Amino acid sequence: MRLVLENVKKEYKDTLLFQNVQLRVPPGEMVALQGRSGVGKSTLLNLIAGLEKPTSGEIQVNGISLSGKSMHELSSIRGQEIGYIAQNSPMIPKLTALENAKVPLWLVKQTPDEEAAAVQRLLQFGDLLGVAHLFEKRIEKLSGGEAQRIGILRALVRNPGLIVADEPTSALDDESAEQVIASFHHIRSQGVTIIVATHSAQIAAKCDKRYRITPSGLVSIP
Amino acid sequence: MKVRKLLFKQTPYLNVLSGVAAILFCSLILAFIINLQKSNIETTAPDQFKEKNVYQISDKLYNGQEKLFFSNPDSFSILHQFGQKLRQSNKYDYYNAVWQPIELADFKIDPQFGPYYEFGKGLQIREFEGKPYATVASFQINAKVFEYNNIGLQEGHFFPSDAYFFEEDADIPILLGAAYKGIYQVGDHLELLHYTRHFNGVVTGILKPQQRIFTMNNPEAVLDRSVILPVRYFKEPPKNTEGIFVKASLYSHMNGTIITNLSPMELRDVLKPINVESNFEAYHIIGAESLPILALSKMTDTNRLLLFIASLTTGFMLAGLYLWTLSLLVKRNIPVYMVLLISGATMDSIQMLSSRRLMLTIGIASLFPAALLMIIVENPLYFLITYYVVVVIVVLLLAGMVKLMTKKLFRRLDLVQQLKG
Ligand SMILES: Nc1ncnc2c1ncn2[C@@H]1O[C@H](COP(=O)(O)OP(=O)(O)O)[C@@H](O)[C@H]1O
Ligand SMILES: [Mg+2]
Repeated sequence: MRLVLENVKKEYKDTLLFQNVQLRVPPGEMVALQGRSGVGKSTLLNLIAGLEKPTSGEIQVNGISLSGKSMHELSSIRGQEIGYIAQNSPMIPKLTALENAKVPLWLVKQTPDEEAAAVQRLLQFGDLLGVAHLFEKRIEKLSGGEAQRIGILRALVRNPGLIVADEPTSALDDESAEQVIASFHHIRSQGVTIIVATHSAQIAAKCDKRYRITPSGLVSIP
Repeated sequence: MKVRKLLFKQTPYLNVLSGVAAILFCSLILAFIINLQKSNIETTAPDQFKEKNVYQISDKLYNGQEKLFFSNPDSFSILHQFGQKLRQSNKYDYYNAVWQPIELADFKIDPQFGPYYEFGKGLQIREFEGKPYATVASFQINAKVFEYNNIGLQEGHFFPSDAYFFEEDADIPILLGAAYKGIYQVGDHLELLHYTRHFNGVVTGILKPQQRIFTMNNPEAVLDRSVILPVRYFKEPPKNTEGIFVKASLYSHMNGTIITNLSPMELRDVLKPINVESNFEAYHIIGAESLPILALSKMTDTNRLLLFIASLTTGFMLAGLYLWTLSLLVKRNIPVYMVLLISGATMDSIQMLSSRRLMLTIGIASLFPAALLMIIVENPLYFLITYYVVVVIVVLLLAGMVKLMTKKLFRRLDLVQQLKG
């Protein structure tokens, strides 16, 4: 399994957000998390990405348990196993699109071989997502949809097995959203697992499975 | 490494601004240390004069007056008596510091000891009884000069108490300024001409460097390159008044400085009986107002306070400016931190990056004033050490503040929460 959630519970202070969350996602599957705003979609994704810790329960990414890990260990698991795509992917304004996509590589020591392989991957996915011709442009010059696709590339640069995406199209117009959705489709076909929180029926329709988050757990949507 | 470069590229102007603030801050620390040190030296001498009035006694025997006065056969005796009564009064302190070059025999030629070296003049050398004599800078001082100025010796001892009286054949004890070290030693016998009369002298001590005394011409005369002799008062009116020695000595003995709590009027009353008894009226008293000394001591006092207040406020302002640029930097770098965070960095490591940046900027900035110091100051080691001690303390304090500040800033920013949209 790429991702396993076992009885996950999250509360802030004394308010319960959700509990009894169970989920098993095999490699190459794309899963939608739905639910009204404020129900805890982003929080659940943050738990999976190791940005926050659950109140109780067990999370495994690629067979690695996140329980009992320090923030430091969690961050290195995040760097290695997970690609994180935010609603509005944060970018570093002064850099080019390619430099932005390469930032995760700077946080780890890389052999020249690994670095070359990473650049190769960027070119390949860049072609696939239709942004390779933008690589040398300053990121500020790109449209929202183009920048978001660079964000996807950045999430892929260290070749993670799992992509976590938090409402990746909600800030985009329809056409850009289409391009992003197509991109997800492409990377899933490369065997990458995707878990995406979304309001978009468009995306949800493309997913293998859909779940609604409720305070008492996930409910499968047919 | 690459991340740090990235952070720099992201906000070049702010980085330069914080660098400039750090350099200014370090320069201020340095300036403060140097000034504090300097004003310490400057105020040691005038301190003793504080709250006191300083008067200069000056004869009026110039132009035709002198000839007239010395046509009286008792003139030497009158001058002697006046001077003696003047210095023997217990109503005030009688201070004698006479700047008068002397001539040294067989002098090892070194132009820096000439009396007008500061004005670019070389040594003046002449033959006297078959020997070459060089004119060198010299002070003749009485015992009060030691009381009013903190003069330190590095070798030997001060003048014995009987040194201040003229003995025809006695060796004159000599103290040498610090620059003479290595040229003469304690115990060396020197032949000298004082007002062209020949005497034998013996070196009894060598002063520490940068010793200063108050004189009427210069409230902080530096003794480094001078030969210091005791003022030698005559016990009896001298019989042999040939040459200029006796006359010039008598003049210098009575043209002394009076240091007292007395007001000008009170002093006039105190001096009245002296000039009546000695039958000498050709003098006047130059009042304290015209002397630079009080102004100097007051100035250094206010200066120090001003300096202190000014550096403290500028220091706070600069530190504030520096912290402000830092907080701006943090805010401007939020997207960078976000990217790093989702790409596998921890909040702690990101925070550390910001704190380290302070160390780096201040560390580099502190080198600039230090380099300047090496260039402009002759002997920079003392300043350099003090400077870096202070810099390290200040940086540690600042680092603590920055750590607290970034921690607070990051908690308020709450990047993880911002990621949730
Ligand atoms: N750090 C936090 N402390 C307290 N409450 C939080 C925190 N993070 C999120 N919440 C609350 O949890 C709820 C779910 O937030 P979120 O996961 O962003 O929902 P969604 O992404 O589904 O809109 C919200 O009501 C929010 O106010
Ligand atoms: Mg959300």
